[in-house]
Amino acid sequence: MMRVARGARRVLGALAIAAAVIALLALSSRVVMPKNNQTEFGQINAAANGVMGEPADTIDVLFLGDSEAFSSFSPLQLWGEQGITSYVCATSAQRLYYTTSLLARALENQGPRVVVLETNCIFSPMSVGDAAMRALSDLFPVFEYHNRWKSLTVDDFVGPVRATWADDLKGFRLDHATQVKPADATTYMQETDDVQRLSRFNWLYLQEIKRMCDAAGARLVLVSTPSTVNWNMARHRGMAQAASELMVDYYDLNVGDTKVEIDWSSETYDAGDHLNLSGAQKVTSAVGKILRGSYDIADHRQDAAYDGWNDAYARYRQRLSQLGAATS
Amino acid sequence: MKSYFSLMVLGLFVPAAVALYQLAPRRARPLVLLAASYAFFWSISGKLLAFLLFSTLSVWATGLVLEELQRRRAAEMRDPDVDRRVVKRRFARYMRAAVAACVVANLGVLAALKYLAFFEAVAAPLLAPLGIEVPQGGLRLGVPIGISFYTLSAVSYVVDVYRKTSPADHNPVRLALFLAFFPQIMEGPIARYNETACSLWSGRPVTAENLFGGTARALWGLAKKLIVADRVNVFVKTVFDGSASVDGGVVALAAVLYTIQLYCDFSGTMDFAVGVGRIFGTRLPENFRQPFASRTASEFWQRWHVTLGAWFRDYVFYPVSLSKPIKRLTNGSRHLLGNRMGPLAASGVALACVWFGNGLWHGAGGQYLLFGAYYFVLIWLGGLMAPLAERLCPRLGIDHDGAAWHAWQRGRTLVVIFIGELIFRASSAPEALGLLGTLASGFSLASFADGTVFSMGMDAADFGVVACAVAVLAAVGRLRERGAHPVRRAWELPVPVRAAAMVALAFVIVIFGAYGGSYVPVDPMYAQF
Repeated sequence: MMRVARGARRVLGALAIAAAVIALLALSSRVVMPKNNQTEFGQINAAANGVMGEPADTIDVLFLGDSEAFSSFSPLQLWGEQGITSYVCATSAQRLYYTTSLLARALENQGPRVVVLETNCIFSPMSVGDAAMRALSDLFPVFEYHNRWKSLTVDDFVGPVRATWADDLKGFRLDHATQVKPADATTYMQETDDVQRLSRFNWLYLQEIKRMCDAAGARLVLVSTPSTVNWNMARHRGMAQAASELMVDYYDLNVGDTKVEIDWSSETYDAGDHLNLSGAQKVTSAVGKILRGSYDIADHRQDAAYDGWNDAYARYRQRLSQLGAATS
Repeated sequence: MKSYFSLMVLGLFVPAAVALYQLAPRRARPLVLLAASYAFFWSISGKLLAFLLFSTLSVWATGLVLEELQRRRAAEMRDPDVDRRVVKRRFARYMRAAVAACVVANLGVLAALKYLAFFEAVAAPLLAPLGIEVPQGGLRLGVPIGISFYTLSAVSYVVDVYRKTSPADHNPVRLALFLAFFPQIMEGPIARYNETACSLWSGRPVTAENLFGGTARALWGLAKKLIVADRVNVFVKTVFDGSASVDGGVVALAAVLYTIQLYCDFSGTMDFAVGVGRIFGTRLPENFRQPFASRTASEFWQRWHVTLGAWFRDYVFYPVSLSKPIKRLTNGSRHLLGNRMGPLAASGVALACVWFGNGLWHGAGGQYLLFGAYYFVLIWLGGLMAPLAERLCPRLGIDHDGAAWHAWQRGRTLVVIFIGELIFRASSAPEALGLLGTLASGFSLASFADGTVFSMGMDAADFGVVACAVAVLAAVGRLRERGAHPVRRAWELPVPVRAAAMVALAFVIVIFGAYGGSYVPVDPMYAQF
């Protein structure tokens, strides 16, 4: 009897400790979370998280991926050419666990018709520890924003958590728009029988992304943007197989009918790793035609509810003019 | 799993190892521990596990050979017709040969894997004028994790069997666990066979007391590592990696911060090792005893990395000091310099061997040899000058046992330590000398006055956190110096209070830890040595 009572006390004690830990983590998460989705408020990866500041259910296409995505897809050009609303939730060296987090955040407020996943990040190696840390951070943001203790204000303790800011470029980046560093494309997409397969861990995450898209009624589409550094035939074959198994559409802009002709002497800013604005414009046009042709996405250009997009597009054209870039 | 302080190790590996250990029958528990240890080793060094197996088997076999030789010697000595001195001498020769072969094989593997490239680089310019070309690049096999630590433990086992201070272990699995135990494989402590082997093999059950006590100790280590060491790392890297031009004031600050970083990183990892060892019912030897309370450089090395210092004392200093040539040298210098100074002067040879070995053990680089030479000179001269200081103090009216003199000694030793760590952290001997030059000739507080110092990876808030943490560590150290044991006393508090304290410590780590975001995870620093 005594032993049972002692055992029960221990279980209750353990539960009390667990409850205290969870309460502390939840409360502290609430305090350290940025109170708006801007860098000034402490938001990490503000541009990618800017999608949370877009009016609800206004984004039809969501782009996900790493730096290949934010260097290649220009939502405002897509708007200008096709009238499609889109947002690029891309971050440097994005891993699929973070892709999953960003997708989940975007789906809280948006119901995209299509989710385009740029495929370079699908091959990026991931550690189980980092993925676990990401999951923990999603559950308790204090693990991601703990360093904000340095800049806490009274508002952090009492104010609401809001997301009112959206990136004017909708996640696209113009940082290296007009820079040129030619690439050596002599071995680019050389024929090979090799197949680069996804790691088991990455495959699980890709399946989870597909499941999330299905649950939200969105079509997952895989797109490989042109890159002499990151893309090759072995990856193309591996990706094509994975897309087939996953039963999703796959477009490789490096090869075949969907190939986008990139001038590797002038349309990359870092020797073939990423595209500059000129290269991105070609890719965006190609992707726009695919989206318009195969996915029947509405043209909102005449819809008064989307006037904000026309304003943003005008500002975008002005910025391109200032950069001396072609605006069409 | 490159660090004990990764989520994989703390959140998955250790809990799984503890659970499997506890669920296993008592006799199988050591095997669970060995499997976990080899899995841990494999996850970092892969096939280089073969070198750990080689060390294990070689010392196991040598132990058996020594035991057999000791048995035969005893048997022959019992024979009344033999000349016992001849038998003794003959078997001593055999046993020395066996020990030497094993030690040379193990240290040879260590040298080949860790030092070959360094020796090649040193030899190439020396042999080039003779027309001898030295191939470069070393073995390129990689260096197994913890080889510097487990090799010393392996050597100590063989020598202890030879000296009959340890029995020869007939069980290779027990010996394997002694050498591979995962909490200590990365950075030590360098345990002796008698200290841990039998305890690890006993398969004691995990008790609530050990589980919570060990977890608390590991948490304390995690706090040192994440709150202090990894935070300071950004500043230290900025200064020492030469990405910023800095004045002597910043170099001095970097030397102090690097010392704090190294202490918190290394002693934090030791807290983890001792804590996890305790969970499995094994008491690992302590590696730190308030090193910054030392009054001399010599004392510092009796308090810092204690098990390494003890290893060099027992297996280098004493054997060299007691060797015939050094005994002859001691007798000669005794005639020349007197009974006090003579032996001290002669002990310089043994001390030089220790510090050459200590410097080289830390790494294949000129800065480490310079580091060893620095401490050799300080400690040897300190020994030689001590009698002079003892005579001078009363004449100058200084109370040799007074608090003021002790404070002066501690302050002086701190400066010695900071300069030593400055040499240690440099990427080469010339860079170390360059930094010392900047410290001496370009000392300025301008970077502090204009706030530049806050733009080198640590802002004012970071300095505040480090200052608070150092104050807490200093207070705990002070209590320990006075013989109090604050952690043990805290452990006598009611369970809910202890639990609350542990939750609070964990929460402080979550908030003030330097992880995620712009912080790059730092692998345990001593694992590279």
